[in-house]
Order: sequence, then C-alpha cells, then structure tokens
Amino acid sequence: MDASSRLWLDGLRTSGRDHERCVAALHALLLRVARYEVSRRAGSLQLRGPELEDIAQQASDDALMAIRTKVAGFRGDSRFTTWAYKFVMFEVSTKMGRHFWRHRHASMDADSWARLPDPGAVAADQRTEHREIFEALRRAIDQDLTPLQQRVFVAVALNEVPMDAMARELGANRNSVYKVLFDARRKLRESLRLAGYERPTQSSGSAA
Amino acid sequence: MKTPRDIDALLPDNSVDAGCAASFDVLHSYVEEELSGVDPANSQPGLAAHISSCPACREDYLGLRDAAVLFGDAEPFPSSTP
Repeated sequence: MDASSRLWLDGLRTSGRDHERCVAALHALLLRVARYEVSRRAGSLQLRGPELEDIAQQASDDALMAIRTKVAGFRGDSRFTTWAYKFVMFEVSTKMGRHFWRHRHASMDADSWARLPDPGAVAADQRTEHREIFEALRRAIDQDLTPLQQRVFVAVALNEVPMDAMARELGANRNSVYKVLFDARRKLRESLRLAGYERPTQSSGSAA
Repeated sequence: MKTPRDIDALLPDNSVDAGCAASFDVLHSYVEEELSGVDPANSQPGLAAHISSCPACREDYLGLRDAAVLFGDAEPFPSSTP
C-alpha cells in the first residue's frame, strides 16, 4: 500500500485529535471532488448554483459516512483516495437523479419515440431498411416487453432518463433497474433476430 | 440485411456484463489500472462491458477517472514547508 493511503487509513483508525483532523481533511476533500463532479454533470440538468452546492454538500456528507462505515473493507488495491471518491460519484449520481424530476415535466409516453433516429437523417439508399428495422423495434417493444420493461427501456434507452432517477421513480435501486433494462434489450435483440435481422445476436449472459 | 448502427447503440450485446453492484465493487482498481497505462478491459472484461452499456455506471467511471487524476494525491496531513 502506498504511503499516502497508509496515512489516511491510520488517521481514520486512530482516535483523538489526529482522527478528527483526518476526518475533517477527508470531508473537505470529498466536498471538493463532489463540487467538481456536480459541475461536470450539471449540463444534463437545469440546475442552478445553490442547488448544485446543496447536492455537493449532501453527497460529500453521505460519502463520508459510507467511507467510515466501509473503510475496514478497503484492501489497498488502489490509492485510498480513488477508492473513497467512488462513493462521491455514487452519491452525486443518486442525488442528481432525485433532482431530475423537478425539471422534467414531459410525459414519458408523449415523446417516447422522439429518440428513434429520423429516417431522413440517413442516406437515401438506407432509408427503407432503416424504417423497417425501427418499425420492427417498435412492434417488439409493444408486443414482447412486459409493462415494466417497456417503461424502463423507453425512459432510459430512448428518453435518456438517468437510471438513478428511474430507480427513484420505481422505488428501486440502480442495479435492479439495470437488470430490467438488460433483460429488455436481450428480449428485443431476440425479437429482431426472429424478424430476420442479421444483428443483434442473442446474448446468453446476465447482468448480476 | 445489415442492421443500422443506431440499433447496436440501443441494444448493446454484452454477454459478460458484470452488472452495477459488482462493477462498483472494483471500479476504483479499474480506474487505477487504466491510469497506469494498462488496458483494464483485459483483466476486468465484465466491468468494461458494463460501463459500455450502463449509462449511470459509465458516468461514475468517467467522474472517478477525472477525480483520480485531479485529486488523487491528496494527503490527510499535508507536510508543512520550511
């Protein structure tokens, strides 16, 4: 383990003034990282300064709590900071997902197909093929997916709703939303294959 | 008949996809491996497949890679300069 990571671990495991200084330094660092990350992602949401700062503060607070709870599981297979920052990423993503719906009023059903590429955007000699395969995809979504798979696929894959926002909407977590999306994609690939399209091929895998 | 590229983007076919939870467990080592100049897809193909298919985990990966570069060398007790 590198020397800096050892210092962080020692500081978190000790007690007294050194522990307090270490925790304060870590929180300040997590807040810097959270502010950077919130700013990096801000373009996808119409959030303003105070809201962004609020997300960064909450994310750094919750990331610190997660790190203190899980630090015993840190195995030294990266720098401590890189391990710690992934909790910031997760918390920022979760909290920005909560804010998504405040700025998204359009019905998911109303613009479900807006993300499917416009046949006019492809070369003239490919338009018929393009139209056919997307018509096949529409039929497969309507006929072959469960209502939950339809909802998740249309929102996440077509309307680019963040998965953490979708998870909040469904009262689920990111992993379970992804499994629904994974299964929906697999089913749609198979439907297209059966409809005579060369690719995509069926996958035998599964998302854990 | 060839399939338009857009379909591949909508319906990626990743048979070794590790899923969100398993990917989160090792995301830090994946990023560090990449920053060391090694392609982490060779040692962690499941995570590589996952971040190409999962938009949420891909954003986490991109953010973590940036943070590891920009803030990775921070120490808890910065040594005072003489």
